[in-house]
Amino acid sequence: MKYTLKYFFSFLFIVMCSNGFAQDTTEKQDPKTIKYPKKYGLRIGTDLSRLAKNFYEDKYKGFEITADYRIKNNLYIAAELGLEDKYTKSDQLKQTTSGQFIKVGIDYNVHKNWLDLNNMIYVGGRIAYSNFSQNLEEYTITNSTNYFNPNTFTGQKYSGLNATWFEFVAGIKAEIVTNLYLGFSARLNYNITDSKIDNFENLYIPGFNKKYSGNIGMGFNYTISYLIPLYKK
Amino acid sequence: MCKKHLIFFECLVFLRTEYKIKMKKTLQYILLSILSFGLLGCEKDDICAEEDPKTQAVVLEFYNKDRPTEAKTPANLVAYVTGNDLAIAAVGNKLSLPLMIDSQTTTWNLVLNANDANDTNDIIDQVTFNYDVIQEYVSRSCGYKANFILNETNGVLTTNNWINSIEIINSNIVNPNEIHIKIFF
Repeated sequence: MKYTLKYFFSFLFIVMCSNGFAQDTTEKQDPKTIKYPKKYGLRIGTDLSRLAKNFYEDKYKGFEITADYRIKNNLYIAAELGLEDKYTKSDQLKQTTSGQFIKVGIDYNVHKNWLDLNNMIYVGGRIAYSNFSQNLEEYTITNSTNYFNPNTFTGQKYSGLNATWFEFVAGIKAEIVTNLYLGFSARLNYNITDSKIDNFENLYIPGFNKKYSGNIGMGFNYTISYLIPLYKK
Repeated sequence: MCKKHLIFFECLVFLRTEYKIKMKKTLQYILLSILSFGLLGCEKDDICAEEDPKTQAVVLEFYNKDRPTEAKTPANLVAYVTGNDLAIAAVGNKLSLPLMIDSQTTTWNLVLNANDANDTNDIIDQVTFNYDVIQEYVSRSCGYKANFILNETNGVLTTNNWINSIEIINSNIVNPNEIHIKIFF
């Protein structure tokens, strides 16, 4: 199921990548001589990969709303807002992270559109914040030899945690039907602060994803979004 | 390389072929660097390594009771906890014994001359360890480990059937490759 979905998204991605170029060869007019007005407006969407995780990942609950607003020809104000409940299980511990996150920043379109197309290849940045709790349900300590069986203990809940981080974003958005967009973005996250816990650590931060021992994290999303056109310029 | 990031790779390859002419060099580098960072971060600390801190056993070292600086190897020494069928054998003049994590006391039976054919010459001494357990968080992949601190007053108690005396060298059972207790016989 998990992989089927991944391939589905890959396929989706390829479809939306191809879409933008289908018309390139058929159009012979010199685009420099004609001015095409660009649509400005508010684009609102949701992350399909987080939505899908609700169905295939054990005990996962989460969604993300995305929005962007064009302020200049190539410049957009962008934001993401979401909720996540993430269950982590290993041989050593079982724990659930629950919380919400907000990310605000800009996207810069580096793709020159042909004619009246509205596709994007963009890079951008976000400053992000999350507050969350971690519930360490149980953990197991292994002894130096297997003479004694491993011992399992009940953990505790750590509340009122928060984190801030910076995200570097690169992605694409393609208009598949008028005003309807499919998008993909990859994110490189750099953790700036996170609450320190006595004798434990933050294993997962909503929005940031898995927290490794270093400050670097990774993320991505597949979005479907709708542009509410406000004016043309 | 983990499967999760293969998807980025797919996209990148696709972007490169489709956008061959239009994509700027700088953008290619940006996408490549994102990808490579992702691969570096990929599951790198998800396996508890051999050298990561682990729960340690108490290490006993055996010495000659008449010449306390002279190491002495006990003949066919094995140890077991009452109620457990398994036994641990001494290696040279050293014996490593795990302590119970869910208890503050562990009693080991140390049997001398145990592994020979003759059952009549077996001599048993009971060595009891009394300690505090401190649970220490190590990492996502290793979880927690247990540190043991032997009590000051009654850290190690023993019967004296073949053991003459005991000396605590180090009451913190925390780090590997340390000797904690000297036994003279």
